[in-house]
Amino acid sequence: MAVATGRRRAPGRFQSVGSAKLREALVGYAFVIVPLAFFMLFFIFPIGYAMYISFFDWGILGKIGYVGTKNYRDLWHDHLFWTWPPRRGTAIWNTFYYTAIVVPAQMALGLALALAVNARIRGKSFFRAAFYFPSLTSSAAVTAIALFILNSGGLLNALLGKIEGHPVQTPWFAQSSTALESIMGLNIWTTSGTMMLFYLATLQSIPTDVYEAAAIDGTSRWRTFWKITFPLLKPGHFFVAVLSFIGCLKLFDQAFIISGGKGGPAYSTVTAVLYLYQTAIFDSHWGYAAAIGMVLFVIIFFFTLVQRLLFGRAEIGY
Amino acid sequence: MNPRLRSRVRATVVLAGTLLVLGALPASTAAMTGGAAHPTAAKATTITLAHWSSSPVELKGIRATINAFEKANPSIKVNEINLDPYPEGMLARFAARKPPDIFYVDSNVFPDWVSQGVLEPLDARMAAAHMSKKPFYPRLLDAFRYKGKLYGLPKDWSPLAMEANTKALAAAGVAAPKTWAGLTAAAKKLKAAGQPPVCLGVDLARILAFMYQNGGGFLNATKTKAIVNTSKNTAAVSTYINWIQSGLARTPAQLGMGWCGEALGKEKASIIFEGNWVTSYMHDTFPGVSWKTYPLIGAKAGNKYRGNLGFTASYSIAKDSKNKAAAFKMLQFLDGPVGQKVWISNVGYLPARSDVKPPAGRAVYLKEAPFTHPWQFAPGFSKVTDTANNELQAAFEGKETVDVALRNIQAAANAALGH
Repeated sequence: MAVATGRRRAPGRFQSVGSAKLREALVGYAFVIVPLAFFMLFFIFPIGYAMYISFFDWGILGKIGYVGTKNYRDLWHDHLFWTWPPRRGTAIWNTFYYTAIVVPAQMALGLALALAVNARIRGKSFFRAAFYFPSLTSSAAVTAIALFILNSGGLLNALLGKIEGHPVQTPWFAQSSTALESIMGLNIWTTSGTMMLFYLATLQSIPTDVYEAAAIDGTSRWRTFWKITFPLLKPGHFFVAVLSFIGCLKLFDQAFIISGGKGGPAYSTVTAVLYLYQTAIFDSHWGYAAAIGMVLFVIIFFFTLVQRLLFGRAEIGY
Repeated sequence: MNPRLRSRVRATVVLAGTLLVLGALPASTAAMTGGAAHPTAAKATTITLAHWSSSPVELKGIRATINAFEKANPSIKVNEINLDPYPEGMLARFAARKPPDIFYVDSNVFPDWVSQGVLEPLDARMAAAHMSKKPFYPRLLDAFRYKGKLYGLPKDWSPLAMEANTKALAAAGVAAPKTWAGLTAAAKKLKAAGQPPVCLGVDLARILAFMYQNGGGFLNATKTKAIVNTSKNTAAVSTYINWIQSGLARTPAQLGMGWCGEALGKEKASIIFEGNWVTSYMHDTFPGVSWKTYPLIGAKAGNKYRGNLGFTASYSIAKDSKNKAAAFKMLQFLDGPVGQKVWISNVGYLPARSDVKPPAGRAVYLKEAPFTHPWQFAPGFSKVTDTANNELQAAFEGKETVDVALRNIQAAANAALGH
């Protein structure tokens, strides 16, 4: 650096700008300024704009008129969106029903897979890759294939027919009693790989000396799991629960594909986001759709806060 | 790294980051203004035509029609875009104020789009160009009229009819049914002879035809009130659902098919109720199946008990189009006798003009015209048809009675109409 030698006082120039702390902060921001700009432009700004739109009657070509909180008040009375007492077939309760089943199932399966591939077994890396593989596949592609497998004349019914000894012709996606449940099964399977990965990372961060101590005390494997592994996985639980929860509340693509965007059969696959999409795209009520989006945002935000309180500060307390 | 060098690197990064962000601003502004100032150098106007295509035949047909237009009008170049999904793709373009100049509009979404002000009225341009509305079937034109003005010209149309596997009918020893009672009897004989069943979708776009056959309907003539919850509709829907529940008919889902046409092609269904789109589909995909088109059945014998649904789409021009004159020229061609002939001869659909001869073997469909009601409601009815399909499915699954389903559909329809 020949140039540097002639400028001995160069660092001093920047020392005059605020304190050392501020300078460090500025440098930090400089590093992230470009991604941050994108984040503001494509995430924060649209959220604010959606909130703005939600107070208007908004059509294909834009603003039609200010309506105040009318969109929210209409939503409160919208029986397709929610009902009290809860009823299956409304957007909100379908979504909650789906979430209530899928979140625990995903966590349990993810943890079980993580424990399995964390154990000392042969072909560990093969199983890790194999279990993670469904997560890499696009959910639309998985659903398209599932449409064939779960067809009334499909592979699943053929297998069930062999087991039961008589032909089975259940149209899994085309009857309201099994449509959403089929999507649940599909998503629990595809997402468990991701959950496994997060649990695996947390599992491997648990120091081995606690296990050694337990082994010296002669603790059983079952007791070791419940008293040591499970509590020490707390940050993993929190992270996986939040991720799975948010993912479930945003269910859209599978419901859209199997019902052709209609939420059928018999309202069984109308999810909050699918309802938002129908309102915006097919009804051109963009203001109302934005209001649905804001309500969904508040719901997700609220439950994430609750989860944070439940799991404490998500720190490992050895 | 020594501390001096480190702070130097740091300073460079800060500067570079800032410059990058600041630099992006003037660059993008320049790009925005630079484009607009550029004069159009080429003489030929380029217009964009957006369409959907439900089959390779249709895609080939629209391309042949565009080629014929370009040959007749060398000064206009056509940029063709094939959108799937269609309404989503169009809405994004409308909202961006950069819509295609000329495009398809389905009769069912027409009320929504025209009430949002994205379509250009055609009456003045047609008058100036001395283009007559007379050759068009009036009911088809009505589907694209809003507040007395015309916003699209129909490109083709189709009612429903009854298509049946002739071998299956012969094996069961039945003639093609003409009434509901006849269908029940024929379905029983088909079942007894071990032939495939009737295929019926739980879909308003089919069931509504049966409601019309029974003297029912969906909206009153002025489209101001829903008339769904009537005893005539209840009887029609109950009969329809009963055919499936009793096992005389099967839904496409129960048969493991995408739609009833596929069931006819794969010989999983003996009788289906579909439109003229079945003809080219069967001809191309299942040439080995022997089948025939028959008139759509009625509730009872006699014209009074007949009813049908007509499906159509228009060519329309965008209100925000920058080449309306060229777009109208294309519309004139597409909906003129020459353009219609090219399109029809390629796809085998029914022409929208009475002075263009329909393809051979379509007489059955044409004879349905007097009983046909357009598949069209009012603005905001997309949610209502979704509700209707969900309610009909719930009634079919036995989760609620037909009466309750119709009452709920009626409420949804009236809510959309602003009651």
